[in-house]
Amino acid sequence: MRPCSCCSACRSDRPRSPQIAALAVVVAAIVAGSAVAACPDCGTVAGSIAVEMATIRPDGPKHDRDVVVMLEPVGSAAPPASGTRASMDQTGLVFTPHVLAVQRGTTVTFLNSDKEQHNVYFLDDRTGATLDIGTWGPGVSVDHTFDEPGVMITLCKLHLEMAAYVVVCPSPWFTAVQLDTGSSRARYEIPNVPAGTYELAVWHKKLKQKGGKVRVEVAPGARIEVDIGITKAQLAKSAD
Amino acid sequence: MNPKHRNVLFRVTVVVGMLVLAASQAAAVPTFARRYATSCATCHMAYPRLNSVGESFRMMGYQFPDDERYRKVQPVELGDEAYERLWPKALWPSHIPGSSPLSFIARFMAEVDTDGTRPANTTFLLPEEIELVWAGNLGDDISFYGDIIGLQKDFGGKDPEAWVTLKAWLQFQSLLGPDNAFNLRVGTIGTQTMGLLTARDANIYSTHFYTYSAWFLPSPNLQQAELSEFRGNNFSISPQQGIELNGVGRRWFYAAGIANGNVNEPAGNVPEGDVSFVGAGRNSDNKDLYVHLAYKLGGMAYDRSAEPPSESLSTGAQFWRDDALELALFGYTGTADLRIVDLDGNVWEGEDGFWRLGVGLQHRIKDVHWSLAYMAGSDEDPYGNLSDQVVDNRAWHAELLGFAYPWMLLYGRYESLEMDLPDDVPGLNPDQDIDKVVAGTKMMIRPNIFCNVEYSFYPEGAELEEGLDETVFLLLSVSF
Repeated sequence: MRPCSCCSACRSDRPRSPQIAALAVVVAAIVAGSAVAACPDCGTVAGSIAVEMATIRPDGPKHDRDVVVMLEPVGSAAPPASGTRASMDQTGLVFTPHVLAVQRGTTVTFLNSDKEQHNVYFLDDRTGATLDIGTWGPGVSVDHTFDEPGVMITLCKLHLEMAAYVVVCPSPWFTAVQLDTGSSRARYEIPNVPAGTYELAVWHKKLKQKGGKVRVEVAPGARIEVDIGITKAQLAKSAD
Repeated sequence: MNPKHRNVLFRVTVVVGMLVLAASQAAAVPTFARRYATSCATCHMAYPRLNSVGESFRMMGYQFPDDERYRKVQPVELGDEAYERLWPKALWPSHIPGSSPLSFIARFMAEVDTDGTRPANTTFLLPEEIELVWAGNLGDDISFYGDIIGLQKDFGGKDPEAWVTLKAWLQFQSLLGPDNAFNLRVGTIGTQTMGLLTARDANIYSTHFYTYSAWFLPSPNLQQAELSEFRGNNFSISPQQGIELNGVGRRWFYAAGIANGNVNEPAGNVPEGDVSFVGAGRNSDNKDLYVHLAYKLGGMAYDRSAEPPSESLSTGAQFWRDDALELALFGYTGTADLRIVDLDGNVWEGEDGFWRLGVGLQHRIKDVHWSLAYMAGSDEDPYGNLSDQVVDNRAWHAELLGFAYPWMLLYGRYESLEMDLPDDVPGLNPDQDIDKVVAGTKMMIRPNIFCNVEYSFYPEGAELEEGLDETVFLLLSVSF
């Protein structure tokens, strides 16, 4: 991950209302999750996600319902980085959304809609590396571009309970879904996937993909169903 | 020194000091963490000491600016706000907390006497203290606080004692003018700032009180003075019962109060009952007056108003940091009722007019905080018919601490107390000056659990506070 090289230039001092900020978050999330142009020769990867042998926290600002499904091409060049934008707000001492899935290269605007100072501090889930992009006051926002795939645990040093996840996907073929609170299941669908070989990976903040990544072959116009189980790490490993 | 005399003095200073400690210790209120679903570290740099956000929250009557935005538990309405428009034809509406306002704190202490002068070299006080605290708001314009503290002391393997103290106050916010400029507090006053804002006993890192504020004038040994009773001036800087007007602005804070004075506990003893209200005193027309002033240079404003929307991006933020210099003044004047009875039953009653004046500063620079405080005072006639001498006094302390990690800090403190005691009072040691050194580390095991390892040493006056001299204290505290 590369820190934004122009933080002061990227910073917006224009106060935004919480409503506008929230709308921006929603729009940005939708854009980030469906930033793939329609492709008649492409296929679709879809299926179900089920929580197995585990329970999830179904509600609250840091619920466990978010799941990200992503495809990474195998044996072909990595897709170019995205130039899209997304947004994450800090409002009421809560990061919103709790999980933000973006493509590599996406610039995320971090807003502060509170009247408190807020900080944004990344912990790379894989390497343990940290990056403090600063602390700013009410109405200010700071941009940061995520250039490398991975999961950035997003923290605020001033409010230790605040946490969110920026899931940086290697390709534009990903989707973020939420598990149903009752059944702990969800449906996912990734359309417009060019024909080829991919590895399908699932990210959940606590649970792991049962059996690990799944290799899928996408044919033009085909719809591939891949059902996925997610479970505790130790159970997921034993299923490998 | 006569061993018996020495023992009495030891008991006097330690016990009253412990009372002060008990009276002012409660400062962590986890119920607020529940209300806002936020960490203790939002308001505490290392509980119980508050960071700037917590200090502002406390001064503003337990509310954040735009408080509703942060509440995760909504208060229960005791009437729709529309009834405000119908008053006086309807009850003025109010609120009560939407969740339990109760918090619990427990302290566990072990004391190791390193010089071997105490009957027990290792003392377990497990637990040393249990506190039940309630705090919150009744709508936007009333705040409340109370605590019940049960504690035990062993005095180094001497006579174990246990007692319970109680405090409570109610505060009406923003009576006049700008928000929080004029607030009226009724009940146990001085719980937040009796002494100096920059050296609050409720806000310390260490295991024990500040000597500079906890001391009181010693009493003569009754046997040597051939007295059957000596009720002197038991004043020490600790919470009292009374009424306080306080207010906060962008950079200033003030509090002025009228207190009962004449604290009821006889010097040298634990409260006469097992349960006592803090600051209980014999009512008379001699009420005491006090005033606190504080001014903050730099850093976060007390009322948070100095944070413009375009506050620039900064780096290196930590929840304990707020580079600022705070200056504080404290003044207290009062009259204590004295009563002296000799062995023949002759009673002398009189008054001791006295005053205290203190100045302090606290400077926070990144991970290092240092503070200085000085307090001087005078008692016109503290020993009544035993001596005509005016007793002046001076006390000061210097404190330095630094964060080694977000969970670990190191601290040191030097304190000094000088009293110009008369040398013509039988049974009174005229030299009871104290110099004290404290060094320790505080480790936050969790945001709501900490332990201290602390050593205290007395370059002067060690014989007066045997229970603290050359002693290692191990403290474990939890709040929830």
